[in-house]
Parts: sequence; structure tokens; C-alpha cells
Amino acid sequence: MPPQLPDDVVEEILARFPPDEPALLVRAALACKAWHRIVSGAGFRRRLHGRAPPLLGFFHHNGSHPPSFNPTSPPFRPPYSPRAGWLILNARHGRFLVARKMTTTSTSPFATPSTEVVELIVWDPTTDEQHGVPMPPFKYSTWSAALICAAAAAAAGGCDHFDCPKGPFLVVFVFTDNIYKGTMSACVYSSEQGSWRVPTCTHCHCQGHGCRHSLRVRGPIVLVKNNAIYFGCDKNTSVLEYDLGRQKLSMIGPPPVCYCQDVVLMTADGGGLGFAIVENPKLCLWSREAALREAFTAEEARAGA
Amino acid sequence: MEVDKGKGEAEETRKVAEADRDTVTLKSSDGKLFEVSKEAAARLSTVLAGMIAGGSIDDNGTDLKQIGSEALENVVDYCNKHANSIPSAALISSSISFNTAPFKEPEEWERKFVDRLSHDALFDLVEAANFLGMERLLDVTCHKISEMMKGKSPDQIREVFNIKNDYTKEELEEIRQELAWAFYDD
Repeated sequence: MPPQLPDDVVEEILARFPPDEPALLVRAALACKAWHRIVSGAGFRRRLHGRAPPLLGFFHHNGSHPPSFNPTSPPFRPPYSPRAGWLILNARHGRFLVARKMTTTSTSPFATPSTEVVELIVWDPTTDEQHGVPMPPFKYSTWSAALICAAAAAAAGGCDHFDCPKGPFLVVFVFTDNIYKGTMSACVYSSEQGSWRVPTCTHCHCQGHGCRHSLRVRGPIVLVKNNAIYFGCDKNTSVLEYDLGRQKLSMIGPPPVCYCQDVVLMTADGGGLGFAIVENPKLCLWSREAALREAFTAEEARAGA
Repeated sequence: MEVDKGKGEAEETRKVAEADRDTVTLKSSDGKLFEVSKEAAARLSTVLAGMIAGGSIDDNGTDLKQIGSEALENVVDYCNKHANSIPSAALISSSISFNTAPFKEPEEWERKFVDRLSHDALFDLVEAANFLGMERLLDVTCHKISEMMKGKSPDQIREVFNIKNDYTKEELEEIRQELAWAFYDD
């Protein structure tokens, strides 16, 4: 008969389970109530949240079908699925920002059906909890939005990733009402207030930053470490930075070699803004040095991208 | 006077010799003595490091009443093997900030070290590592245990850990339904 282990030792074992295999912890919790108490205890959860969250999978948009989940660590699969007409914009700490689209057909047989986003939804795929966010009451022609934990935007401490899926959130909405006017605006929705704040004085001109095309906003990259969110503009030939603390929107240029190339915005190793560019046959990763603001350094070049 | 002076010198020499000793002696709960490299003990165990720094190491064998001789032998064996292997920079940093640093896979010799242990010896070693504050040894032993639990049903886990099921059938069913994804393999 093997020796019984004291609770503190069991906690040490369970806390070291591979983070990308969450099923192991669930099965362990079903062994007995004492183990269930250990894994659901505040101390244990704080410990788990102290380390880098694992990537359990991603949602993939495929034509007109609802987004499908692709697990990177089987057998994990969220218990609830996105619905038809949902466009997943962004995810933060287990919650998703979804744009619900509706296709309206005119009674005229000659009119083409038009699709428009009627609502934003903050969705938790593990509980199916849905929090509807109305579209902002402003005129916009192109836009993008990002989900943020309200705690992350508040003072220095930031978000401790503890119980984020239940906490209050912010939606940062970046838009332009005329893609040729060269101005952008940002406004923030707060779940605590249940309303959109007045757009801050954030109009910015992008001339002189190499942005020769229209201002179409792309998906956001959320970075909370330096309290900023980045949105790619047009073909990512320029980048919009929204500073959560100062509520300020500004345009920054890409790395010097990026113009006219298709680049991908990403989070760099240090947590700041990064760019990935394919320069055959290499994948070049650039990271933006916070201290140098406008300066970029080529971080790494990997062969065989 | 001459004699006294000699005695003082001898005392001094003995103290210096003690401080210079590069091993410490540990005594298990059943009274067996083990020698371990002082440097490795201080580096790998926060508890032993505290005892060495605080001068509470007994030359005749520091009592570790919570640890049996088999587990202590394995602890000492691990420390000595560790002292002989070159620690990588990543290993050192992971022992400093273990809560945020990603877990570093066991090295080949560490894997072999835990693989040869019996089930009971492994469990005793985890307890000893936890008692002595040996983060790296905890990582290595716990990694082995989590590997043992892979693909096991809650029933099999209870068997491995010798624990009694105190859930009712209804309670178990409720949790299984709520977290069905964790049981797709069954």
C-alpha cells in the first residue's frame, strides 16, 4: 500500500502538472474531495495564474460557417461553440469579443443582401455567459475593437489574471468615419458603467508616416504590459497605438524595411510590440524598443520560415 | 600560560577546520548518517542553506527526524550527482523564480534517477524534497508523478495515491457532465 501524501505535498505535485494538459487537473480533482479543495483553492489558482497561460487552441474562421475550435492540446475543447453569424475579433484571458452579424435582405428582388454588425458580445466559451455591448452611437465606416480586463487598464498593479473571466471589462473601439480623411478616433465601453464613454480627443493625421492608402483598421494586438493596444492600419503600413492610461491615440511607423510588405503585428518576446515579416526564405521578427519609442531592432531571423 | 595559549590555538584550528569542511552530515529518522557536499546542499535546499548559514549544522549529524534513511539516501545521492553535473544557467534561474519560470524538463540523468525508484520510494522522496525546500528535486519528482497520472481514470488515480473516494455517485456524475471535455478519452 503506497504511503498517503499530506495535502501540501499533493498541492506541490498538482501545481507542477503540465499547464497545457488541463484535463489532468480535472481528473485529479475527481479523486477525492480534499484534492478538489486543493485545486479550487484561491492559493492554488493564484499559483497557476502566476505562470504564463498555456495556448489551449484557437478559433478559426472558415467561410460562412461558424468559427471552429482547433485544440493545440487535445482533448481540451470548450464546452460551448460560437454561433452562426459570429465573427470573433479578439480574445483576452479566456473571454472573447464577438461581432454578431446579421444579413438583411430587401424586399426588392434586385437588391443585394447586406451584412452588418448589429452587436458586440463578450463571450465566455466555458460557461456560455454572454454580455451584449451595443455598437457605439457614432458614425463609422471602418473599425476594429479590442477586449481588455478593466483591472489591466487601472493603475500600476495591472491585471493579476485571477478570475478575469468574471471581472469587469473594457472594449476599445477604434474607427474612422471617412477612410480618405486621414483621421482616426477611439472610444471605450466600460461594463461597469454599461455605456460608451465620449470619444477622447484622439483624432490623428497619418500623413508623413508612409500611410499612402486608406485607413482600414485591422485586428488589434493587445498589450497590457505597457498599457497600450496596437491596431494595424491598411496593410499594416502604419500602426495605431491606443494608450489606455493616458487615453491617447497616436500613429506610429513600422520598422524601416516594412513599407509595402505584408507584415503581421505580434507580441514580441519581451511583451512589447513586434512585427513578423517574411523575407524569403527567412522569417524576420522585429521588436519595438519601448525606451526608444520609434526605434525598432531586428530581433531574430529564422531560416526556413 | 603556554599550555592555555596552545589550547586556544587548537580550538581556533578546530573551528576553522569545521568552517572549511566541504561536507555536512545529515541524520535520518532511524539514526543513519549521510555525508553530503555542503555547496550542493546549500544550493539545492533552501532549508539546508538556512541551517548552514545559521550555524545549526551538527558535526555529529544534523537531525532530520521527518526523513527516513531510504529517502535521505536518495536526497544525498541526488545532491552529490547534481554537484558533479554542470548546472545550466536556465536551471539556476528556474530555482530562483520557480513560480513564474517555465518548468524545465528533467535532464537525462535526473530522469534516470527517478525512473529507478520504486513507487513508495518516489513518494517518500517527494515528501523529503518538499520538507527540505528542494525546488528542483520537487520539479523532477513531481514531473515523474504527473507522467504516471497521464491517461488514468479517477479510480486508477485513487489506487496510485491510496486515497478513498468520498464523492457520491451523483456528485461525480454532476462534475463529469460539467467538465465533459476532460473525459473524452474514456
